[in-house]
Amino acid sequence: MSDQTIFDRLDKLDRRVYYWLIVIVITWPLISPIGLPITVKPSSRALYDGLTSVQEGDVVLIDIFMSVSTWPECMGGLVVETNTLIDQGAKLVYVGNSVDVSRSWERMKELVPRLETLEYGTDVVFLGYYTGEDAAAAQMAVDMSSIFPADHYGTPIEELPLMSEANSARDYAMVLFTAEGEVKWIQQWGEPYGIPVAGMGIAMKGSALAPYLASGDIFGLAVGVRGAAELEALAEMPGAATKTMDAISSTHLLFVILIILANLPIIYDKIKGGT
Amino acid sequence: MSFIKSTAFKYIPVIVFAVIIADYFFTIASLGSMAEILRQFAVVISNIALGLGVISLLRIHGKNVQRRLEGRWQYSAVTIVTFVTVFILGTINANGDQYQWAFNHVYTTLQQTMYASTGFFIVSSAYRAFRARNIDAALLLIAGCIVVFTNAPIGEVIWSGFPVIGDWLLGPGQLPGYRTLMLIAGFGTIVYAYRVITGNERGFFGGGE
Amino acid sequence: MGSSRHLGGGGPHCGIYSYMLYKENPLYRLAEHIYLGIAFAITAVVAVQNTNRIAITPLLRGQVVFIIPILLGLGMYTVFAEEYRWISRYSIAMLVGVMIGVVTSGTLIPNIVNQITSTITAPDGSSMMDWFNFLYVGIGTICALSYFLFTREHKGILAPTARIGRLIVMIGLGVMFGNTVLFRMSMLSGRIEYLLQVLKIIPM
Repeated sequence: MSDQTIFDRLDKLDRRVYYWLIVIVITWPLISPIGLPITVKPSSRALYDGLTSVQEGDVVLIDIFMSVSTWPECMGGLVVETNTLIDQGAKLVYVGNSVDVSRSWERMKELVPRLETLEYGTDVVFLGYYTGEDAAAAQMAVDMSSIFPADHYGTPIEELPLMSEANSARDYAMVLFTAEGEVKWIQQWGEPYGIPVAGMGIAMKGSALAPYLASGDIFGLAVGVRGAAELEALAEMPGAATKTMDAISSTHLLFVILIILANLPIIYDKIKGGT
Repeated sequence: MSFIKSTAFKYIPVIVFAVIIADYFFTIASLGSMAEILRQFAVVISNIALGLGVISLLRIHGKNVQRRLEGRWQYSAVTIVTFVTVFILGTINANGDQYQWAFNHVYTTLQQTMYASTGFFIVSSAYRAFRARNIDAALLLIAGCIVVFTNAPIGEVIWSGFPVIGDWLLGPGQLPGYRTLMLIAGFGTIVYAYRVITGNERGFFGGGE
Repeated sequence: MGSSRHLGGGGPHCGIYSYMLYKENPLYRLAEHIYLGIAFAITAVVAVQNTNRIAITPLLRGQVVFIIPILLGLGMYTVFAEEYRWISRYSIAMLVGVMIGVVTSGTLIPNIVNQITSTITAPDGSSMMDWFNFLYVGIGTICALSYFLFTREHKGILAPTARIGRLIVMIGLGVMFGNTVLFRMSMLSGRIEYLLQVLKIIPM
């Protein structure tokens, strides 16, 4: 007992101590925000520049792949994308590959009240849930109505004026993915038809998407809540993502401190020449 | 009958694959129509197949209830009752108040909460599991910590070099590793397709003759 | 309505986190099993709605060809019956054939050709950093590829290149680890924020 170092004691510490520590570290900046500045990465700027280059009347397809669990990561960015595209006068078609996409759509309507001012069916359409991944994306590129004979609300697609002018990939100016599912758009819309693809991925996808960004298969990328906060900064629309960044700072600092503490004995042993 | 049960289905991927690939390389109207129909079929089949997981769930929890497994059967009964109730409500009227309440408040919160709980585990593993015992692990941890400080605004406050090195890591730094994985996955996809059409890949057809 | 929302959401929320912050207890197990039931129910409801929309409605409107995928889809469920399991193989065969066709054709250019082209294309600019990055990515990719060569033993020229390749892959995995921390922490922050809003400590 007496030759136990502080590191041994920390090793044996009940995991609940760490859990409560993280709750405190998250709670504090949420109650008392700090407001640290956020610098914008080139990939997020490229995404935003792409959004602001959309012309009036251009039709943009937005794939809401995120489930409700990834709202903290991606909803902020989706809100900025939608607001920016509405500012540009673009027409919007939303689809989703998650069973709870209707919930994400309803939440987005709450956060972007301007969506209600658009004429549904002419300026904006929510087609709803689809399944089949790459096969669905490949078929949508040829004929959207074969995957969506009706929109989410059951309105036959022939009765939606927007869909008569935007029924295949060549009618779209851009595809934006959200959270995940970007590969099928790159492979089935971007490469065969030359449709620009970009979007925001969950943080874990940032690494997997880096090669596509480097090779030019996607023109812009915002990664995780950090990317969403960068988009909010660029659009000057501070929102949920910006608010979360203070909690991100405190938790990340704690995380690195714990890693350094965990590795101090190993570093000490190496310096002393031990194994 | 043995041919239909054990052999005939192996030719379907070959024919379907040939049509889809030929449609990709050649612009022939009839091929395009056939490929469209096949893709639509796949979408419908995968949609109907969503229920497979549901059946599995009901079987597992149904067996728990049937066998009255101590400490578990009551919770399995809760799962089954919840499933049946919400399913009936949703099928009768997906826009109804009760279904929408369950979807908007119970499901949404639980889904977010369950996924967010992994945040706790990564914090405890930060101290207990992430040890740099060799150069490989050390490189992984150092790169990870730099990216952690790049993603968090506080990193730039601590040292202005973090975003510089971090942005390089997030760009060219990680590129060779992931580009390699992407190339391998790409070649692997082609090899896998070859194995399927030559009948050497049978895992997804299940066991037995 | 507000209280019913918080009861429906905040109650199970606390139930789930009671396991992490306290210990396993019946409230946590109850919340977990309610989540299972409701998640699968919603999946089933969406599947029924979607099948009705994309297959049954067109079938009833005269597009008889949709009977084939409907039967094949229902055939998938024979996987649960030992005697009739062979029927599900036709459904799976159709799915597999389409998926490998679509994915293989889609992967050729973006995943292989474009990646190789991007690796071997020299930078336009003359900045030292651009050239350093080009050489780093090029040599790093070759070394990482040599690490994944399992058909030859890593001896001779392959030994140092495979070793460097492994370190390169470790850097990539480290970056992904850093991003994973961001992902997990942002989700957890969202939940703590919700709890603080329900408790009226911070405004909605």
